[in-house]
Amino acid sequence: MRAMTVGLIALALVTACHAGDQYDIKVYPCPRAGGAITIDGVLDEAAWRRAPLSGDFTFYNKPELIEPQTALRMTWDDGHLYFGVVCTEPRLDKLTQVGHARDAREVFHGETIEIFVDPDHDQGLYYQFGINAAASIYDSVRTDPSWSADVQAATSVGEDAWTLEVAIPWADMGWAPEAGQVVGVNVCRDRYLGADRQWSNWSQTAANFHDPARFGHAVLSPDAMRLGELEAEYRKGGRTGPIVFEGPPALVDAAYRALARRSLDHSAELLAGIEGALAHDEQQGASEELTRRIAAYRTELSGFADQIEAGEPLPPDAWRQMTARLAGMRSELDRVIWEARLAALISTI
Amino acid sequence: MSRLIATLTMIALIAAAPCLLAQDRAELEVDHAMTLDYPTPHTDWAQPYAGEPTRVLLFCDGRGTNPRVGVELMQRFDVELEAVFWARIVDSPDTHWHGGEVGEQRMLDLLEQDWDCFLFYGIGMDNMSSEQQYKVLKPVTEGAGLVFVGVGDDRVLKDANQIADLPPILARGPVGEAWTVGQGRAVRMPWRPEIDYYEGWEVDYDYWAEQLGRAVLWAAGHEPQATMTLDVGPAHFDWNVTKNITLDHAGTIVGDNPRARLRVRRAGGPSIDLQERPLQPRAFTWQVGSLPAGDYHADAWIVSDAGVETWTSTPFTVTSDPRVGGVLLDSDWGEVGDRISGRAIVEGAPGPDDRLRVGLFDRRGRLLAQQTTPAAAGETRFQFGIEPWMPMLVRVDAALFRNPPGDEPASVIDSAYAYCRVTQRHRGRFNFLIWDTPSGTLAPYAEQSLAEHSVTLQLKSGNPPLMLSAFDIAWVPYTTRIMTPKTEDGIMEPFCWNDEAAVQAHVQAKAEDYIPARQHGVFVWSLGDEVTTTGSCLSPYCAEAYRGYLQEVYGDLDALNASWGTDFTDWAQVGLSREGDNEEANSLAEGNYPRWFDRQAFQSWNFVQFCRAYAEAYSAIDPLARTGFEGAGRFSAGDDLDLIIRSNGFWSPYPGVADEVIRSIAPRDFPRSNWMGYTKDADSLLAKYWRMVTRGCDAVWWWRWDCIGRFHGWLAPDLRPFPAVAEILEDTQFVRDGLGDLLLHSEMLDDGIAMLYSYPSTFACEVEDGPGYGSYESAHVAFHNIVRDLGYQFRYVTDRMMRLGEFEADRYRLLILPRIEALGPEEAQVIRDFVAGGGVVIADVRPAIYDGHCKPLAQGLLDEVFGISTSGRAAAAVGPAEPADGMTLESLAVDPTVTVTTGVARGEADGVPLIITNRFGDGAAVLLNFTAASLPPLGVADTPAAVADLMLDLIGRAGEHPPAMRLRTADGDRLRNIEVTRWQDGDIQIVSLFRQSGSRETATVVLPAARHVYDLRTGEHLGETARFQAEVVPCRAGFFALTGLPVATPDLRVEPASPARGTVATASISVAGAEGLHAFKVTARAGDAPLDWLDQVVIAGAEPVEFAVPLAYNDPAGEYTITARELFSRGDTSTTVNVQ
Repeated sequence: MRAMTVGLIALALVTACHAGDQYDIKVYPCPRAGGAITIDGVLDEAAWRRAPLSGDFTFYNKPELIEPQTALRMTWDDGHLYFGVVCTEPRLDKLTQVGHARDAREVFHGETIEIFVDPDHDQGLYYQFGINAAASIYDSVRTDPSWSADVQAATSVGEDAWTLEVAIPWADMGWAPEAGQVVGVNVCRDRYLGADRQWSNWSQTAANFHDPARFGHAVLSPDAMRLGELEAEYRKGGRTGPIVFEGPPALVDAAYRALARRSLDHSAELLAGIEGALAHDEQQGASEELTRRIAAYRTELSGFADQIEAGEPLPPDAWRQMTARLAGMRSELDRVIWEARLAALISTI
Repeated sequence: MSRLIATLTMIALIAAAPCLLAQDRAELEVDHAMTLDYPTPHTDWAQPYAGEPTRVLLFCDGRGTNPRVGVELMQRFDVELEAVFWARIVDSPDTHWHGGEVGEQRMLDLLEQDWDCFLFYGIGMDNMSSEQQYKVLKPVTEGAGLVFVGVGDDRVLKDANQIADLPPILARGPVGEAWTVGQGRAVRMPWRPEIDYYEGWEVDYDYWAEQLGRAVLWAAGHEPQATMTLDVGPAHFDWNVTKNITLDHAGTIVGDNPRARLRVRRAGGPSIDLQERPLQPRAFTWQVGSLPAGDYHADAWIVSDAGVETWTSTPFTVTSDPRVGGVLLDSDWGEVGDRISGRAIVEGAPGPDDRLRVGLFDRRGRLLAQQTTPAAAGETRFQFGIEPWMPMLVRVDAALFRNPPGDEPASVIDSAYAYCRVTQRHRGRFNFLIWDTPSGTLAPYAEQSLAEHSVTLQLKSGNPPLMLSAFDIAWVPYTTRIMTPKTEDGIMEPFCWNDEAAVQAHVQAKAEDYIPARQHGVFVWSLGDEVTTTGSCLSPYCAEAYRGYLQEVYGDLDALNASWGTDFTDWAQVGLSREGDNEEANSLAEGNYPRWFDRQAFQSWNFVQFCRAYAEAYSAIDPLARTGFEGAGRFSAGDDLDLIIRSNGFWSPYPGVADEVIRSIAPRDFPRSNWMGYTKDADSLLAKYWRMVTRGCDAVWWWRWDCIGRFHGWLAPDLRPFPAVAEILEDTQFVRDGLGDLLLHSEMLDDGIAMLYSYPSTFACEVEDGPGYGSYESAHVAFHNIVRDLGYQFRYVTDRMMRLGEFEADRYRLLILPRIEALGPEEAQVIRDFVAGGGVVIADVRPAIYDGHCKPLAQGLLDEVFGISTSGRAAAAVGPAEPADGMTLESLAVDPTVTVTTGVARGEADGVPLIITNRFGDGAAVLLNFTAASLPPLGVADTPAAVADLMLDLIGRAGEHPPAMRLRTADGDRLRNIEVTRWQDGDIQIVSLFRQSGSRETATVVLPAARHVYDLRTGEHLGETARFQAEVVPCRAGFFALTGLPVATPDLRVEPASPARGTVATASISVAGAEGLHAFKVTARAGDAPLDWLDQVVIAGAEPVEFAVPLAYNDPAGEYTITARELFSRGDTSTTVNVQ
């Protein structure tokens, strides 16, 4: 019986791998506005300067950076979630600002920003706001445009970009925000001015923009510890890619460190459980193989622990690799435990 | 439809349409619901059960009819059941536990509950995680049951644990193999039998379902405490001997008052319940008399006051001499007016008084026609006429009788049958079409549910299964899917559309393949959905066809050279500007728009010619064939809508502006519809449904019959309509009660307003600065909304109609030109003549600045009409504008090149005139020198009322009367965001009020004069009034009938008054003094029992309209009540006949 158990554990350790895509999981520390914001299409309030700048928009159907790029800032207060989106546009002379009726499909027929908000982060009920360069609005709950919110939107046109400023009332989305909450968010851009129509997104989606499992995550006024303890929320929906914290370097480094520390502790607990089961194994050959692999895990964990506890800042890429590996390891160990239980059960039949 | 994913991805991005949606838990519960809401014929084998109820967790594929096995189990046994589906993700090749991560969590939550048995139906545990498998097997090892059907698991079903001597409950049948699994039990059954449709298939299935129930109850440890046996002796009997069936029993009876029941039955034959008896302590015997030859089961139960204690079933066979050797039809199908004929074969030696009856039965078992002759060995010929009232499937049954026919089944010696199909196409009525047909053994139950829930047509590739005939559903064969794959050399594969020999070989072979469909009855022949609707290639065939096309278009080479700027001296020189440039992209890039446009136009024409080849092939096998395509074709650049409509037999695009063109220019008998079904909530679905009705469609097409996940099928996995579908059925019942058919007999009005569709303009708007003015389509949509928001209706006319002299100038007072940037000289002259003759034309920006081949013009062709001069083509100037005194609009897209000559300007934007009016002959022209799409929409709340007033004033220049109906809010303002559509039915008007989205609102409807008003949703007569209140409910159209007189009671007659069974009575309806046609829903009852075979819509007016009342030989005698419910008033008129 134990031989089968150990064999299955070893097999699982060898073959276990992540499911799903490896797209970046974007996390945006969304600061509180701390002052009034006038929705006029100009991002000149202090709140916008405090909000981290994010970007790196990719093609909707492939995770490659797109040109021209789009820049994004978010902020919030008790009444609204705010978005400031700057759309770099080399063909600005071709831009026309044609207004359309509320919820008209034509809103999507030109230069348009699509904002998606999943306020309770359940990946089920979410809201879409399509706003074109003339600030015409389409809004819907999922795809039902009969829902409408008291959205304020304004645009402005600069020398090489057009800018959208939006305020979305929390109450209309049935939500009361609190610091520390995580909100599903994506911002997507429909661009018609180029030679080919371009669709791009801030957080990479799979088939189209209505993909709440692949929205990014805005955490309201978080500290580094809070950012680090929300990994389960970031990975909701089977996300297995690297977590990418936006924001000032110090906050990002501290957040990764908190995230990695928690993940390390969890992995160590799982390993200890498997080692406990191995202690009674009678098939030395298989056990030795498994023991060797577990030792390799321990070595890997130990290396990570040294890096985490050293306190030295690490480049974001290094953090991403480490935390992604820790998440993968946890997933593998989770599977191993159930494989072991199942094998043991079957051996009793 | 497998290609739908790409389309939907596009739509989702462009128009926020249906798309990949995460499913929440509540949605998954709806998808997985196993209800008894749709009961089907079954035997209550152990329902109610004296033993414990059994909790079953079912794992199966969630598609098709597979999940229904759970309901079938629940109907027959005392089973509480939940299901977990393995399902293909909609429009993808991927399969997964339904609901993805949420679905897997649902499964884990279910696995935390206590289950008596886990049932794996067609799927094993392979796709479960280790955790999920563990949580199934752990309770099994502790005593729960495990049943695999069609699958197994060697890890769990170990040889050492197989039970060699099966317990009696499993041995009978036999059910399958059995194992112990720890403290639990497991059964492995073979996959369910494949049972094709025939009358009696459900009996075969019933016995298989009984086996499944035994497996589940035994595995769960809930098998009966008592056992019983039935002894039928040799198991073979002559038909007319007495058959002894002996019951014995043992074991424990749980309840009081135990009794024994016995039934004998044959699939498709008699089912005889014998008298129930008190249970005896010893064996006892029933005696059964004569039975028609065939394979029977004797089924017995011991029941007590606690429920079914135990049951059993055993087969036996009845044979006869003489016997019926078969029925040989001369043809197994026929059109109305043809004959059903053939031979009945009698073998053996009939008795001197034996009779042979050949009868025609419907699927209900009604004997519609019969011929009886003395029975003689050998062949007996028969012949029946095929009548219009006959169902699409007729069972031609030959039966030998020893005693007088009618003493059935005891007098029947033997029988045999063959099916004959009656071709029906279901045209000329309002239909509901479903994509695909159910498959699997339970398919007929799904088909029956579809038929009972409004489905009249089905579409799929291949030929229709027999069950569609049984449920009177006509066919739309998806015969091909036209695409344009090409070789590396740019030649179409597998052949060029202009390779005549290859095309003919292909389409004729295709037609041969579809002969069974033609025999069944084809509503329309489909060339596919999401097809390519334009195309050409680099083959010599295409080159030749292109030259021929150009010759037809230009007439002579000089004209072509002038247009293209070429100097060809021979037509043979004419070809592409650059080798290999099939699209003439080079010409577009170089600004040679005519050469580019002509290639594009050729590609649309080329596609239409290819469609014609199919149409001719299908017409060769089906003279009434109508051929076209669906789910494809766009209003914007590429498709020549007029040409498609002229050349095809039907067209059902996705919802869009093309619908407006189809309803305007297609003949009324040209089938048209839209596909729908890509959301799940009733409101959004109803909005699509009612849009079709108000756009003059003659059917609703729904994708597809089954589906779970981000779309929903018409039927849920348990075969009841999904809850949203049930709501749709309720909301649209009055369409099926007569409105749908009546609208097909009525004419949609147009208020004398025509709108021009110009094929070359769809291209012209895409070149140079055109896109900066918005799309061609957005201009049309904007004008649609303006006209509708002001309470008017319109009809499209086309540039080709103008060229062909089909434009009926006298019919219209106003002609609207939305972004008609390209116009040929003939069309321009028609417009000039129209205005000069007194008509009014309204255009938005840039009228006729290109010719009919998109060649830029130095001066607009209609400048004189509009009283303007254009200085050239320039980018739109977008900014604030003042179109009228005191009216400032923030953003209008204006043509800055326009100057006024003879016109009168009104309003300006940065010095550019905005509205120019000009007298021209006896008429007038109005140029809106801005895009209609940039005008604030009249339907939204924050658009100033002055904008609507301005547009009403301009339309008023056409001599329009005020809108035929005015709708007001509670505050007396113009009701916004409402579509009013009127149909003329004689002197009756039928009116719909439709708000596609928005809020609920009460409207006051003001008529020009008092009329009798009927609310068709409620049947309420609102009196004779010029003003009434109407509740506008978003997504749901309201309908009203306006009549001059109150709706009169119709005259409903049936002749003769005392018809004999086996004859066809004739009913007629008329309405004395009717102002138009009325719709009647005709139903019938025999006593209190409804007769589902008479349920139809009859359209009648002042003249009597007759319809058949076919009385079957085996219908009950007595008083029948036939009722006609009038659509407008919901008034019932009934008459009775005394059926002899």
